[in-house]
Amino acid sequence: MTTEQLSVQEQAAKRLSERVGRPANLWRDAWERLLRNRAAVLGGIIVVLLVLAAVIAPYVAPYHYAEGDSNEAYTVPAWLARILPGNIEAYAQISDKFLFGSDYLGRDLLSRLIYGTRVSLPVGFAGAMTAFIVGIIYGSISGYYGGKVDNIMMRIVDILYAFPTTLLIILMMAFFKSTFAQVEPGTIAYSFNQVNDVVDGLLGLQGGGMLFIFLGVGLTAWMGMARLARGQILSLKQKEFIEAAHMIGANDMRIIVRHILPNIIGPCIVSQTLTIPVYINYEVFLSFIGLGVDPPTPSWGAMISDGSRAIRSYPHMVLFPAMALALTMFAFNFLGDGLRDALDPKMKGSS
Amino acid sequence: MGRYIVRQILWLIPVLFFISVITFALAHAVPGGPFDREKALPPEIIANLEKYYGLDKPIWRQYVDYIGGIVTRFDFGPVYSSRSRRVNDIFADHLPVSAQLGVVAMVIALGIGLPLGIIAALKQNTMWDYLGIGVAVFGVSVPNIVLGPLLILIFALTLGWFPVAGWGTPAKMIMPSFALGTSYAARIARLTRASMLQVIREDYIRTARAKGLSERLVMVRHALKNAFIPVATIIGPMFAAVVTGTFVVEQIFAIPGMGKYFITSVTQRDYPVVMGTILLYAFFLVLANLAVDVTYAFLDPRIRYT
Repeated sequence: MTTEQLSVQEQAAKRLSERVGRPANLWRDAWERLLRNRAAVLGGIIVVLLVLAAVIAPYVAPYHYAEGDSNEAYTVPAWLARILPGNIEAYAQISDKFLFGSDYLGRDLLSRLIYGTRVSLPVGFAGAMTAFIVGIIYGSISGYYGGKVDNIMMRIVDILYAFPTTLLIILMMAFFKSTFAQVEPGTIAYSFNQVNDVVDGLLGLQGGGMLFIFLGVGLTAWMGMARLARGQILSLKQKEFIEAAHMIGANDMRIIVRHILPNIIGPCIVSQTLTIPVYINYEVFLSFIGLGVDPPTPSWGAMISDGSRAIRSYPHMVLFPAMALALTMFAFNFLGDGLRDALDPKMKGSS
Repeated sequence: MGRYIVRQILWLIPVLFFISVITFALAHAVPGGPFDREKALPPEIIANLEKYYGLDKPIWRQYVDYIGGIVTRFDFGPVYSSRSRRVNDIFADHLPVSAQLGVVAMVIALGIGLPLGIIAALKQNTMWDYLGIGVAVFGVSVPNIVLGPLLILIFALTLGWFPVAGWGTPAKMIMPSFALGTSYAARIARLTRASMLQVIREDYIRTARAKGLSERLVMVRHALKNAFIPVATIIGPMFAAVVTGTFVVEQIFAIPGMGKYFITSVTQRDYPVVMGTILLYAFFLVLANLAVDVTYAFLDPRIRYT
């Protein structure tokens, strides 16, 4: 026990002595700690590859995601048929044309998986960004001003928080879907649709209703963040350096932005990185139950839903989207855990 | 303690009021009535139907009638897509199945998660520990939407151990319950391990050992009870996740529960069913959270609620 502790202390001392003459830097230290975590590095590499796949989808996808030949429907890849001979329908088409086979309309599964990253990843990142920005602003105001303001603002969060998130998203999506379905020019719904077309266009998708998914996820995502930011600020604002800033006459805005935010941003980033898989899961869940993206835009959730209906005869249709989703979840979870350990070593091991 | 519980229960009233208003408002803000057909019905018939269902009254009146019906008669209203059944009939037919699924899944989550976490913590840095962590990492990352189809592929279609789908017999219940419970078993294992590791380093554990208590007594009475405190907090969110998880798992395994019915009614825009389900589930979830808060206060006497 003692020898082990000593050696740990010795290591720390050695690392410290190596660092002499170099100013302490939160981000550089965190980066070095992150690189030492092999699972996190692997997760990071996969995330980068997924983002890359989303960006260069038109160049790497062998076929168009929405076009298929119904004569080639349910094509099972030959290599899979060799591995799972007993699970595949006797009269299934087996071919090498599609690496991962084709779906019920003869669309290439691989291409749809690749384009699916353009749905899943933006939802994950947009959810995290919305939660981050809205949550921090809301939480800072509430925590910094305290008193009555805090009381009212936090009661609102409490009520929203008590509403089960998934049920709220389902309800909102059902509302969006029917409200924005067909509208005449000049209405608010019409302008929403215009914005949505721009969003879909930016993501390189032909339709899909991504804006509404962003809205649904974003509107429910920020409450946790607001609570976290408020809690952090409450513990910070008593500190001497904040008092000092008050004394030299800094105004509230300056104190929040220059003195408080830099100190709370670490835990906030960590909490949002850890939540990205949750947002991705929301979209998958919504598309699975038919409230997510509109066809023919490929979503992994919708693909799993289609595939699980044909699982007895054509297991490839559910196998590959499920694997893609699992891989993505692993990658983000490993990266998130690694970031947490790197940015805030005190939190290590807690979840 | 008593005052705390009373206050929490009183707090439920605004929460439930808000939930019901939001649910009702969103469902009724949808343009087009529930009687829009591909072939438009004559306006007289629509007017009659609206009168029959009370949709011609002002919106606040409809809300009061709806909530009043639930509170006084436990009546969740009509089903627009079927004249012979009401929302209550659907609850009676399908809710017990979902409840079974949810309960078995939660038993699995706790029954696997707790022992796994405890063993991993007690045998830290041994094979058991690594096995526990490995299972936990796998379980946390693989959502039920992935696990369900994979279980069917491996254990039903390839190995033939379990039936592919359905409900009613124990053999049919195993795979769906695992698909639903595993990710929470993993979360609980992870949390239990972390919190056990923290607790067994506390001074009072050393004191308990020093006064000569048996290891078993130290662990059960002193360590476990305290290690369970953080775990209790996860049970509220777990209940919520299990409830929504049933929507997915029932679809994958073709289980005739509420989830499958809920999804159909969402796509068919049968709003009384959607609204009834959400209100009922939200009510359960809020109650579950209250129960967790109370358990929390019970487990940790340091928490004094006033």
